[in-house]
Amino acid sequence: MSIAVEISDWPSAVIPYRQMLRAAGSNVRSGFTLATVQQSHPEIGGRAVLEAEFSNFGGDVDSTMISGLISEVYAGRVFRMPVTRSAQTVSAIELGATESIDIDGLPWSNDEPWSNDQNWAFNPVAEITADALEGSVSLTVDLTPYGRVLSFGKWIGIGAEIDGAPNMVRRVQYNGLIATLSMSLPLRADFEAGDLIRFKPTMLGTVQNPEEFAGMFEAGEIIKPGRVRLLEALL
Amino acid sequence: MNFLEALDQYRGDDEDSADISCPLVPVYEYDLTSGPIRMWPGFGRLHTIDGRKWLGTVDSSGVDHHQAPGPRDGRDGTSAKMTFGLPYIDRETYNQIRLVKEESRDRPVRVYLCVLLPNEGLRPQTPLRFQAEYTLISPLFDSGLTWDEVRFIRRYSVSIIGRDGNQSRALADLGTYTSTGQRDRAAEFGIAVDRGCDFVAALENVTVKPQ
Repeated sequence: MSIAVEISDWPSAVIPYRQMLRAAGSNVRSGFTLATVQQSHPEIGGRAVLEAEFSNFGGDVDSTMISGLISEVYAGRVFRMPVTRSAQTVSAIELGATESIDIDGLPWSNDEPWSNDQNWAFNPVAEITADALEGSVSLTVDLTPYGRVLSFGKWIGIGAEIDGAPNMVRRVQYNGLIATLSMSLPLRADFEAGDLIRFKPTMLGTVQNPEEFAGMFEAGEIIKPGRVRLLEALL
Repeated sequence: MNFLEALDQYRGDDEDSADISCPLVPVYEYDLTSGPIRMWPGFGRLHTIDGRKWLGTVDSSGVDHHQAPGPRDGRDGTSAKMTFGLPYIDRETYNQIRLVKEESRDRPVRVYLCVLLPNEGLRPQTPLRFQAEYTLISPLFDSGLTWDEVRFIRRYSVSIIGRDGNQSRALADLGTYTSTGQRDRAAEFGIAVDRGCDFVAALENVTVKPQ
């Protein structure tokens, strides 16, 4: 009996104004020492959590759309949400982007966007230089085109696919521009040299707080959905 | 580094048990007829150094979907009743498990301890330590309605009882004392006729007094 999980794209019009990623590393309490210090151990594994807040919407994003989304959220759908409004990823400027290819994406060569005023997605990548196994936390990346852009706390997506899991850098050791990364979360798949990491990760997760998302729903021209907390879906 | 060395590293110079702590998790291998199923109480897949993969049984809200009893010592000769359970499964899974319940008949479940050192992710490098082995005896299937303050929810659960090597130890492994049984055993040894137990049936409910 195999299970096929349906993945829904978070509507691109419902753009969050604030996003925050965290590795939900909780800890496990254990005993007290003789000096009554309580010890705790970091929980093994853990999953990424993405919190997103929304401002007021009007126009295309009306109450009908939000109400549909509320039902989908309650139904426990797996959503794919790009992490675009977060200071935790390496910014386009740090990656050497000029103003025109900032977070609004890349236009066509004649500087025109698509007919819906959207640009091409800005999707910078770097190459993994050594094989890495599922479950391990170590990764080697070649940052030659960009410089030493990765540091503690930066989030990247691992894997070239759009569903490459977001992961946080805990430690970096540079050898020239080859960075050996110690990640916060275990890798979700095996990777080979030549696979890619993405500087603009995409979160794949289920919403943990549908009540909060639906709580601020009301009829009106302008609508503000509540915040959502996506927990990484391990598929 | 083997398991005991890893423990020693955690122990350091401390001698009092209150000063020593080490993150250990029990991992469970159900060796079913068609292949083993391995589980560990955590998130995601755990890869041990022997190449085995263990499925994480804890969901996003911290509920462990696999219930296992704590270890019990059988050195006093008792055989504790250990119940391993999957308390929250859907109807489909429940029915599927019912169809293959003979998979678990007299099969072993093995419990190992896994020491998880920091910075190893889900790929611990220390070999597992064998802790216990139980024989799976009888699966129990249960479905019932529970009330969660808002609505009735039908809950399906499967559990199985495991016993250790002391199970049925007191029962001697001999044949039954009947004439037919005795003739069969005699035939196995090449004796054509053994009438040694012919009188047994006649002795049922009879008190025999030696003369």
